[in-house]
Amino acid sequence: MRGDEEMGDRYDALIDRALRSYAEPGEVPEAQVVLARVLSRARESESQRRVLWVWGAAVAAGLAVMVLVGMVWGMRSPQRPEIAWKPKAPGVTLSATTQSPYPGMKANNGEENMPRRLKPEIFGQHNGTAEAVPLQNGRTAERESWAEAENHLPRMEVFPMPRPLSAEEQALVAFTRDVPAKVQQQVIEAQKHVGDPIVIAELKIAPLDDGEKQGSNQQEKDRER
Amino acid sequence: MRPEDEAEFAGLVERQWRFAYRVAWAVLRNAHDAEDAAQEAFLKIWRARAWRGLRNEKAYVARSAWRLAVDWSSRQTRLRRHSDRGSQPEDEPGIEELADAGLSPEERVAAGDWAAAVHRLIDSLPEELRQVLALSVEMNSREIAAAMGMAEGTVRTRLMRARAMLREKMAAMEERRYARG
Repeated sequence: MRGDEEMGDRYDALIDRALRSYAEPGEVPEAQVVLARVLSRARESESQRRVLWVWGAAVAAGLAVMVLVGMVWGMRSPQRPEIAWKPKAPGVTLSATTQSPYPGMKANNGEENMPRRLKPEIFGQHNGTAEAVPLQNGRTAERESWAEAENHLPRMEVFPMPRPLSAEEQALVAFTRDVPAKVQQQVIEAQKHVGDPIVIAELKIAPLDDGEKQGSNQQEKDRER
Repeated sequence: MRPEDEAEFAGLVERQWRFAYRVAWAVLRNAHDAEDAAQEAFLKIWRARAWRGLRNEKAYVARSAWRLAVDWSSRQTRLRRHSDRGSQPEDEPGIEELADAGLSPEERVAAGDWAAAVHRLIDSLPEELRQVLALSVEMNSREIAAAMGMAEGTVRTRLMRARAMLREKMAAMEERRYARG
């Protein structure tokens, strides 16, 4: 037991002695030399970092200018002129509850379900004629809207594409909604006979009786006087 | 950079360079690598402007140097593995290994060179035990714990385990030596 302890102490002493030499690196470089190296490397890396900063700042500034120009360009781009679509028929007002004559098509005044390329802001009127509206920068609304429609809108599955109601059709729809059924029926009946020849009933004048004759003679005399 | 900053940093390098180098050496066991790692540690301290207002500069430098040395060591190991894979088959020992082998610990003990034998035994310890043992020459267990970022109790346990393993190996070596006569 005691021998084991002695042996352990001996080993510990050997380990301590060996450790001292183990951890001793021998020749250690001079601190001044190391300091000079560290400082020169630090300055070098700082100058590199400065160059990187300058480049980074230049790139960031360039990007910022590009973004700014893009924003300004976007703000300057012409807004689509608003052309109010009003029915031509006088005295006809359109409401959101107008019934659509096309099945499966919810209609208010026709604009909502209208294909984009036929909408009134694109075409001046709903008669299908492309009315080009000149814009500030010289481009036309038609060109812009066609391009936009082709890029963003899916093609309609219905062919031919539903056409918006014309002003006359709108007027008819309003008429059927607002006018009572009896009058409508009369109008419909009247419409049926529009092409018929005009017949004027025979004029029959009944002869006057005596009393009436005397009265009329007296009146003639008075007039002569 | 202000001159007073430079002077302050120069003072830190002069005070702690030797210590940082020894910490790096304890991990790397190579003069060039230790010098590079310690230098890198000071460069990092400079870049981080970390030398200002240090409460315990020795612990800070030890930690920086130890971390850099461990990183350096793992990088070197990877590089060595990579170059070994490219140059020679893995099962054959490298030329350096053969040259370094020299005498076995038993032969060194027989020759009376206990220090060299113990050095080889220390080198054969697991890395976490070897590093703690090597650093124990420079620092106490609290400083080692601070440098390695672990509990002081862990450091003490590792030190005890390292010493116990060394004692066992030394006893075994001595027994074999006596058995051979």
